[in-house]
Amino acid sequence: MSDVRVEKTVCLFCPPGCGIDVHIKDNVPIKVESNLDSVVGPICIKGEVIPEWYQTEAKNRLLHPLLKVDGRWKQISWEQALDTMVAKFTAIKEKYGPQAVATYIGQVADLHDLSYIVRRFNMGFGSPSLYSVHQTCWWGKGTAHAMTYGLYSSPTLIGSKCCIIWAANPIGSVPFAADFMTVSKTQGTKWITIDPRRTFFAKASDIHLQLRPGTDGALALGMLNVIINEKLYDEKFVEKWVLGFDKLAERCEQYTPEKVEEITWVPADKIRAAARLYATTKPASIFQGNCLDNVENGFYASRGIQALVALTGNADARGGATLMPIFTFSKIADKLVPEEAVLKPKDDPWPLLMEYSGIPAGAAMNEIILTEKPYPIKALVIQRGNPVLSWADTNKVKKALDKLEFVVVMDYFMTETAELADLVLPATTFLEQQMLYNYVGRPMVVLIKPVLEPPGECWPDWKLWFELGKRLNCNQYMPWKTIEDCQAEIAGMAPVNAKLEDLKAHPEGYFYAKRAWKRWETDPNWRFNTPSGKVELYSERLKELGFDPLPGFFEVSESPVKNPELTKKYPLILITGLRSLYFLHAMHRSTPSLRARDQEPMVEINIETARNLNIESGDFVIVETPKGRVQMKAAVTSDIHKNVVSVPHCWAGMANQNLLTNDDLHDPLWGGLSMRALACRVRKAFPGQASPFTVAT
Amino acid sequence: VKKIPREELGQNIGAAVADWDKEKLVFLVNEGLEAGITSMEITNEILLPILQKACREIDAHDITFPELVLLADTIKAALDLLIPKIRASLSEGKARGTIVIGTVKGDIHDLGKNLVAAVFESGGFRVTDLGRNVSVDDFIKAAKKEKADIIAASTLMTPTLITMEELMKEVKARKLKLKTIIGGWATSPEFARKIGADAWADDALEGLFILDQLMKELRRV
Repeated sequence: MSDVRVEKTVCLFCPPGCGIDVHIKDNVPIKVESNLDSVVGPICIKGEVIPEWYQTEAKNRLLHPLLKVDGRWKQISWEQALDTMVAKFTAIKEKYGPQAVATYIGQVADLHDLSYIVRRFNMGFGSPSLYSVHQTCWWGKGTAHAMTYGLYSSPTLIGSKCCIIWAANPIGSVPFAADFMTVSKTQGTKWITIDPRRTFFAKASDIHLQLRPGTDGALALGMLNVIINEKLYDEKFVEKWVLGFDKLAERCEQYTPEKVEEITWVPADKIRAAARLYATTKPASIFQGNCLDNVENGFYASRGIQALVALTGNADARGGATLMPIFTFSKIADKLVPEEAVLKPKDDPWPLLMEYSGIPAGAAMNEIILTEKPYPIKALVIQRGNPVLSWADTNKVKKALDKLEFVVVMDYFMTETAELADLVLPATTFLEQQMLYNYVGRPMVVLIKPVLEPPGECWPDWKLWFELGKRLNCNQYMPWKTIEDCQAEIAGMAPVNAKLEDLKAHPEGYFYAKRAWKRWETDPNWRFNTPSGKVELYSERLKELGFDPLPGFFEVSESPVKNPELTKKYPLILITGLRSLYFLHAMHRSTPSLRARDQEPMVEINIETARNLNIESGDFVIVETPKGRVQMKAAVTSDIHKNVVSVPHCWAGMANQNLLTNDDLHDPLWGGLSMRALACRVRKAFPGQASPFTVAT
Repeated sequence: VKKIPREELGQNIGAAVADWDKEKLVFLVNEGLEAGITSMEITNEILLPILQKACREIDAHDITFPELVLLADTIKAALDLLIPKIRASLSEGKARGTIVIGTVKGDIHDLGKNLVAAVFESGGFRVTDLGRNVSVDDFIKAAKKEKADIIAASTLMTPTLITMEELMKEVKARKLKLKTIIGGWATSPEFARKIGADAWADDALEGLFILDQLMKELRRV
């Protein structure tokens, strides 16, 4: 028996990364509380149940490497596992070239140092094939902000007098932000919610714009039309700092509120009211979720949203948006190495994503595997990811995995993806390994230390690459003896520029820069990080690349306007990816306290639509798109638009949303996947089709 | 005077609170008052039980914090109307004790504190609300001026915990004959013990219950 010790670290049961105090007895976490020194938090229920997760769900963890032999799993040693990998990778490299060995990192690769390590490994191995989940979230915003400011525009909620909650439900995705926003609401902050669902925020909002999915870009242009015509914009800021105002004004002329009503289904008067409230209340912020990153025209919608931010003088304003550098570990991995070591995949269809994130688009990987063009990919290592559930078009993902000669999955559990692998490796959790973690929306990093001994033969993710680097003799760009050496190298570079000791002294998070606002007013040398030094509502660069240089709007491929024929067969509009407070993506489904609060996947259907389809709450229904079908119970509600159907996020089996989604239709600019604004139809499942065995577990 | 059955009033008020509909809630409360139901009855028998249920639900994670915040903010609109009436009905001598309450310096949030102040008043205490962002000095001055039995301090933000600690030190150093109670999102029973506060409460209703105990202890001294 030992005493209870309390360790300060960070909860990574979801990406916001709240500071936590973990109470540990005999290497078992027994209690988790918010770390009061951290600016991120308080924790939500997911953080509180970390001990329960260890006592329940984690009992099924992988503890040893497993090799598939004649379709059966056989326990092997790490030594054997590494030997197997070395033999396979060497053979594939010799036969097809180094790029045929690829890696896919799940869960926010740009936020942790793993992407830095793997990229350096790949440089030594000679493969540009490092992929990640970037196309599923955030980078639509990221690239749009980069094109507009050369910086990321993060909403600053403190001091905000008006907040647009645009395609977001922070109760499920960033719980502590929702807490803060609601407290501000009671102190008079105005809310405008833009969502086809009547969320908590929509219900409590001063104005709710219930729009047609996939028309956010048009809505932004409609609001801009009102703001420009009624001269509600910040003239001084626009004159000095905005490039392309006149061209944008000309573009917006055609997007009158009446015209936008036709496109978006939002009444013109409401568009006017929202535009006026947002433009005349200062400072005002826009909290944009990740939804638009999964819509074909999301980049342009995000550009339109930033035009609203910039024209109203809220760019780089406290209570508006804080501008900060876009920094990813994968990108800075290209520093400190000779230029020729930096590799890029051939014929990348979306080079902008690679340019800003340092990681190319994963959809291209699937395409390369399936077509073997421009070269074959034959082996794949998947770490921290479960693409069978989380990537669009599950059948395509499975087909691609099936085509590979050798698949390695490193994870905590035998996931749906791991089941399809040839070799499965046991991984440590965020409480069991040392990791450098980067925050979105604040200039802060944290050095997460291991506070628990890992069980069985679980390895930290980085160790795999250190070992493979040695054995494959390709660690020339990994000049580190220990993981600390590597982390010290990263921390020593811009923008962090710190010693590892500094980071260690701040387990709650280390701020590497001070947040500052309105630098365009105070700093005589200020320029935005764009070619012109201004906020580029009109971008020459976009024009050169052959894209629309202005914020714009086009109908998505499966919209009722673009494809009325398809709409005859699939009359409803599908949105997927609804986040739950109780789960992160495909995780946490077997933790009793969490599952009890979100027991089974249910598809949300409007009460009127359900009546017409003879569907009642609790009935099993089938949702179909041209890509596939899912089966789950119906949740009949008046809280969703009558032409919209919402399928929840990342359930397994017959409830897997990604049986419906699309990896053939992409945002042309950065490759975002089509997981929302798709055509679908719903019908009641026939008796016998609805067996309880088809429900996800 | 229109007769409204109390049960129906309770149900209607419950629905208005669930819809965060302040206007409707205030209308219903006025309707109840006109029908002869006292402000104390509406507060203690209808509004506080709704709040109590919500506090139980947040502890069990059956509702989220934002839902609790909007619910409490809605109820506050009714209490703003009812508390002056309760205050008027209690003569000075009859008050069960005197409290000065505030959110400590550095914290600009006061929703929770406002609600706590209202609940304490509805429980028959004389409450002086110092508002938000209150310095240690102001707490002490007000406590002396009002001859307070209890100082109640709250904070939502962790960086302000230090102010709370200073307040407790100052109360001890000046040997003030009063009791202290703390609460708020950033605090915990452990923290209260650590800084030497006499009590910690999880929510307004628990706080009201603890006030009675603190008053008893004071009298014993």
